[in-house]
Amino acid sequence: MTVILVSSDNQDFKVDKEVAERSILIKNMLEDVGESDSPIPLPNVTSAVLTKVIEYCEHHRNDPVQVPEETDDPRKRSNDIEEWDMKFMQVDQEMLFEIILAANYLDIKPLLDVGCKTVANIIKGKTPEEIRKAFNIVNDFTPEEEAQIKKENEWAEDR
Amino acid sequence: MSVFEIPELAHLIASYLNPYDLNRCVRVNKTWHTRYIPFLWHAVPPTSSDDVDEPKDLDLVALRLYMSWNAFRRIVIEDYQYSLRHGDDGGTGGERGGGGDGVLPTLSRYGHWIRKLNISQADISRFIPEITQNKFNNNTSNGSSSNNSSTSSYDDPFVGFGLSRLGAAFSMSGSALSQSMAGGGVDHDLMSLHSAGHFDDGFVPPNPSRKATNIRTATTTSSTAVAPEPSDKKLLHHLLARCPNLQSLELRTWDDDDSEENRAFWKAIATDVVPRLQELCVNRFNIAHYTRTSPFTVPLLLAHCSSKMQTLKLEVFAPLSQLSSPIRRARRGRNIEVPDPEPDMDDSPLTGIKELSVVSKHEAPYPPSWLLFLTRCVNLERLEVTRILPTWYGALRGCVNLRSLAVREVSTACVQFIADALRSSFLLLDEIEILQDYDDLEKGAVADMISACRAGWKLVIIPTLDTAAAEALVMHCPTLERLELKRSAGLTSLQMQQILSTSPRLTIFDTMYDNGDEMEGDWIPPVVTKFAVQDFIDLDPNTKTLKPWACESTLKVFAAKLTGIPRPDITEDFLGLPRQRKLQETHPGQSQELQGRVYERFARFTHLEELKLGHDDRDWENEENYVEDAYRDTVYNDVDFQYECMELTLKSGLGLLEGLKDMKTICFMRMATRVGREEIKWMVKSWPQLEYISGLDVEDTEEEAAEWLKEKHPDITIVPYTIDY
Repeated sequence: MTVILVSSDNQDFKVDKEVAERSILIKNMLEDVGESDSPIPLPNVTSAVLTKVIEYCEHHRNDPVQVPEETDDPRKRSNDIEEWDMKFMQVDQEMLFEIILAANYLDIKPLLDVGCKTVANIIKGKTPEEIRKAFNIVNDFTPEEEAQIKKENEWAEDR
Repeated sequence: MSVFEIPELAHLIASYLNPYDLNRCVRVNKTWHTRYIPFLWHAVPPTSSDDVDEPKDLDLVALRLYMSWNAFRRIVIEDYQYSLRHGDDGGTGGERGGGGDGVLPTLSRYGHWIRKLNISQADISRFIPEITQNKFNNNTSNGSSSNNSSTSSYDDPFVGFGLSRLGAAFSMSGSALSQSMAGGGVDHDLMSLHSAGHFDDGFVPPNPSRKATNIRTATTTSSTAVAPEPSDKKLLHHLLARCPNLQSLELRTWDDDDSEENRAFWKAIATDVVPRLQELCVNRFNIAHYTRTSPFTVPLLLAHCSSKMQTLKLEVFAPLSQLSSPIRRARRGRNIEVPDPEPDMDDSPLTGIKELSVVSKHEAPYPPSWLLFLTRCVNLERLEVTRILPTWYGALRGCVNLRSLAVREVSTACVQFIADALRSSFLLLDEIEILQDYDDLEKGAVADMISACRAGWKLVIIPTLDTAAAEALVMHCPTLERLELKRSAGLTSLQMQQILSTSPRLTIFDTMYDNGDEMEGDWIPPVVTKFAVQDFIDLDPNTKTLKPWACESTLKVFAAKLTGIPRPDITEDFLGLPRQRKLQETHPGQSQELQGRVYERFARFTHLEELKLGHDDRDWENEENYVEDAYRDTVYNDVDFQYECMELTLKSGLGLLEGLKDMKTICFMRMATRVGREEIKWMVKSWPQLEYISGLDVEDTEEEAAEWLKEKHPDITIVPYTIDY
């Protein structure tokens, strides 16, 4: 069985139901609507992004459903990205962010995770200035504030 | 739109960053600061090597952690001194008023974000940073040598420091310290303390109080003396008062004695902190730092757990005799003994507790209130205890959600109780862990316990299996995930094959996880069943191909001795004498054929991380184990040296293991392999995760390989065969 997804720029994407259901949002929608041929509008996702998201879901169509970890520790590892996913994520920053936002909206947890891991890996090892440069962020600290914050968090300074 | 603008996504990204990355994130701009401060301060300071991505060098990791503590302690002291000035003895962290100085100290502002603390007494008792900082400044202004490039007044400022000061905590090497310092990471406190001569008078590692005293003595003699230093315990108490939202507390190796100060300290921890915790670990065991524990503490901590508590782990040293009778202690200055009653404990259920571990290195630390406490843990899933006493049976039968049970010492009665409970109460129990050797158990007791499991064993860690127990165990192959045996005496080669070929979830198969045992001074050598190579290859007689095994895609650890491979190339034994009773090839080339098949089998374990074909159970101390070799040198007579084993050469087919990209550990200890430089190079190239090689340097080629490895890949740990005895 297939379903039709419609991107924000009105392009239709015909995909297997099994693939579309990697998105919890779509899965819930299909369950609510029941058997129906009507296309599913995805007003927050452009066709370029949807193409990538579908590519991901196709590749991972047979993956077991992820069980959320019951851990309170917020720190996880980011160096365990599969090779295919790593290549898949080799896109420009704008597209990377778009994919993450789409994964968040469509509720595709594994894609969201791999996207955020990729961003984390961009941050890792960079100085504050390099991070600003990488993400086009303006420094709004005064030099005094900057010195103060550096001092307060010296215990976590990489030396 | 940037993902950083959506708090949930920014948080998810933060969860993949370590404290050092988060530190740089909070310095990016104001928005990032607000967003990432809670993550940075969630668990302070960095406490484990997991927090550090690079470098892999353990010495450098230890140094970083150490420096983190030093900086963190400064923050705590600053806050403590602030509170003295403002008459504030602790409170609710960030909610407090501004005070006279305008800006609140760091800990007061960020303490409410702290959820997790892991502290040893040594961590907090190291320095008085203000004083050392002043000394540093004085020294530099006087023109004496105290910067990182000029060290003329002492030859190597850091080596001595590293060895004496950090020895107890980190086993730090001087070279690593020097490396780090050369990289510009000089901590002024370290420099100045050394220059002030604080380390030259000999360091006594085991007693942190003594360190604090030494430093305090320095305070009084310093011309730049500041307010008196709080004791380590006072400082910890202050810190904890600034963490109103703390959920998890781990206290390692804190002093415990019968002093009034100590009792007040633990009482304060129990009453002020324990009720709000979800997790509490008190671990006093540290080889370099052996402290005795007052029996007073355990019942106190138990009595103050709330239903929030999820994990409680107490590792203590306390003689049973002191706990089983009313506790008495002599009041200072008076020659009378006053009974010390246990604190009151109500009987309300502690629904949160899932994991409970109360163990002792020597004797059971169980106070009278333990039984009531156990009854209150109605949802317990994991229990770890030193032993199980008959009086507990009733309470334990109530633990119907128990899934994992670890007992350090068992008796026949205890094993029989577990078997009985498995049939009636422990219906979910599928993990059993027993540490002590139990040769004196009644025959059949362990077998009965193994077969009584209704859920199907997932994890079995026990010293040994007798024949009946081994037969019972193989019935659990469908569920078995982890099997670790100290001695695999009862297991046959065919049963090993059966376990590997029919356990679809097996991740760890270890038939020699320990290296023998010392019991009451006697060395108990491990008896390891050897896995016959034909059983391991397991060829289908019709197709002449390897039979598929169920655990091929799950197995991570394989540890067993393979035997039965003829090795015509090995003509001399370990002592250089001609080998006796050599296994002959049935036809020329059989050795290579068999080895090729073995590699083929290993190559199928696609997620293998640890391959252990040999182990070390040599009893070096027994003089009878030494003989003269062919060259008249006295050497260890290695009777268990493996000759009919794998060559592990590229020529014999090692290259077939190229696909095992998760390989981290390879052990060929005490085996007649022919590993040389080419093989080691190949391993390093083919197995990117490789971090541990055990058994090198028997033959000349291996020695060469070891030298190459040390030079090119110092991050890979090598455990050599030869020990300088």
